Amino acid sequence: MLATGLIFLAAAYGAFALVTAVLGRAPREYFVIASALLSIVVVVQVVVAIVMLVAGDRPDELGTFVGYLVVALVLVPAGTLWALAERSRWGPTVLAVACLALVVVVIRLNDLWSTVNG
Amino acid sequence: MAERPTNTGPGRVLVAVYAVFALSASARAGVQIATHFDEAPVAYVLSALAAAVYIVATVGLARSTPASRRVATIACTVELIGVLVVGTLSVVWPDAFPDATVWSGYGRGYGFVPLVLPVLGLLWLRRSAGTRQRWGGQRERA
Repeated sequence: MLATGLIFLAAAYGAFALVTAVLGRAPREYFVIASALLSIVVVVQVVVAIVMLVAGDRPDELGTFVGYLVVALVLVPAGTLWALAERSRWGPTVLAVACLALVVVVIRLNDLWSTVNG
Repeated sequence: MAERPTNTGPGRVLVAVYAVFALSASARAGVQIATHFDEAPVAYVLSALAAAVYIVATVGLARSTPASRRVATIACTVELIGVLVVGTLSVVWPDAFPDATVWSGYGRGYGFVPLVLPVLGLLWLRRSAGTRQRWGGQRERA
């Protein structure tokens, strides 16, 4: 449920960043706020996953799953920092790339999690 | 046209995509080698090699000094050769690759981005170098 919402949020934010890029605008301050909000949702999702892991749920490929969790945490903050330093349309494009990568990572996490109790 | 940094404009996006691949390839290779190296040692060593090449290319493009430009050019070239050789081998001789690497099937598992990325990297390095020999550009002939 949470993961589906996260995929939707990341896709929406990525699409918004892409539109900004196509319009030729540089990243603005509100991108920091939006990225921070999205990152909070990612952190909540990761904490939920860790709690469930500690509680005893185990996906088949535990190592890969944990690796993806770490990547998921890093993507949006790193992408935002890298995007803000670029004062052109390529800044928001970087954010769109980070969001797309986050969508892929969350979908993979979902796939891996589907092996729990399976 | 003067030389321009490799880490601004479209180059900034390129560095971001390279960083994503460097991160995910390293994580994947690390997990493969740590948990089941014996199953497919060749594939996992190749995964680690690919990860290393992505890291070098990312740093080379992001630093944008004359030296890092050369390093990035070499990394992108190795990457292109790697994806073509491993891609071809994995298609004609699948038994050699019991487990997939980033470059198997020319990067099919990653939307063929591993195949496109080194080409974009080399084009960008060439374009940002700003030599007078641009593609299709008129060069005075004697």
